[in-house]
Amino acid sequence: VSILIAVAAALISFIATAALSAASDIVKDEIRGWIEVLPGITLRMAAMQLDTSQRVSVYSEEWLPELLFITRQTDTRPITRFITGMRFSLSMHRSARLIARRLHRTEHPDAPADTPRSPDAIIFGPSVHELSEALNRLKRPDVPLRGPILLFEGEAKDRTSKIIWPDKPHPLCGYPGRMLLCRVVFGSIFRPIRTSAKTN
Amino acid sequence: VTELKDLDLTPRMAEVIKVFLEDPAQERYGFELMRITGMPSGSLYPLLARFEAAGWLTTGREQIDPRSEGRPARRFYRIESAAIAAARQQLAELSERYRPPSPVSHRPAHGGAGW
Repeated sequence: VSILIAVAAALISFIATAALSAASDIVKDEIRGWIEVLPGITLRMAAMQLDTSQRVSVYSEEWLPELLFITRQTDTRPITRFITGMRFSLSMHRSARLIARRLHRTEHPDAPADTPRSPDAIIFGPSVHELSEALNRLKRPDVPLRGPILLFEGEAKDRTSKIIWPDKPHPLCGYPGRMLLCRVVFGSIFRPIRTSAKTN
Repeated sequence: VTELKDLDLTPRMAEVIKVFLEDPAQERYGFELMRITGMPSGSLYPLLARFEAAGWLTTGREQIDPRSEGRPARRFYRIESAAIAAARQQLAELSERYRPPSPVSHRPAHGGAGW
């Protein structure tokens, strides 16, 4: 009986150790994920205070890469990286409006001249009616236009096409490399462009 | 060619531009500047924006392979060659403005009315 109890105890302790180890790995992964998520959300909220035309050049090309550098490469200690990342994002949140006022940068300095950036509106696979509605809306004087309008032909198969306006930016705004198969619309002038796949 | 606009340097701006003057060819990144100057991002980035808008700083992209690094390329700042002389002069003026006055010797009054 005592042998059986000893074997059972050993088995239980082995299972408990394995379970604890697995739980510890899960918790570590979870925490590692949050190191980027919370500062990222805070920074994204800061970016909402920027002009739509500035979001690509200021948020996607400057703030976000800097934050990812902080949360991935600056320190070996995860909590330190998390705190540094949060401080970076919170501080940006306080002065995003000031940066937006002072900076009138809307274009990527190194990108080829014909690459679309900083869209004012993104139109996915629009029908003729929707496109005409969109262009009419763009003619209104109360719609300020600073950047190009991106018309995605790549999603034309999707019949439930969407028109996304600056107040509801699509995540694609942040990733110029995914802007394949698109045309740039300036007012009512259609200009086909070649867009290279620039992967991040 | 970017037009260089006049800037009146504040002590905080001087702190930032001084870092660029230490090695004008050196590319500087936001987080690196935050560490050197001790400024939080919310103070530093508006200053960088101001310098950039005035043509004192130019920007570029870090030359890395984002896939191997596991992160996107960062934006770096470099001082414009035309701005170096202006920055040095402004720093000298600022330093002169904040130079403490030479100490005044307080000599005891002699020959005054005695009691």
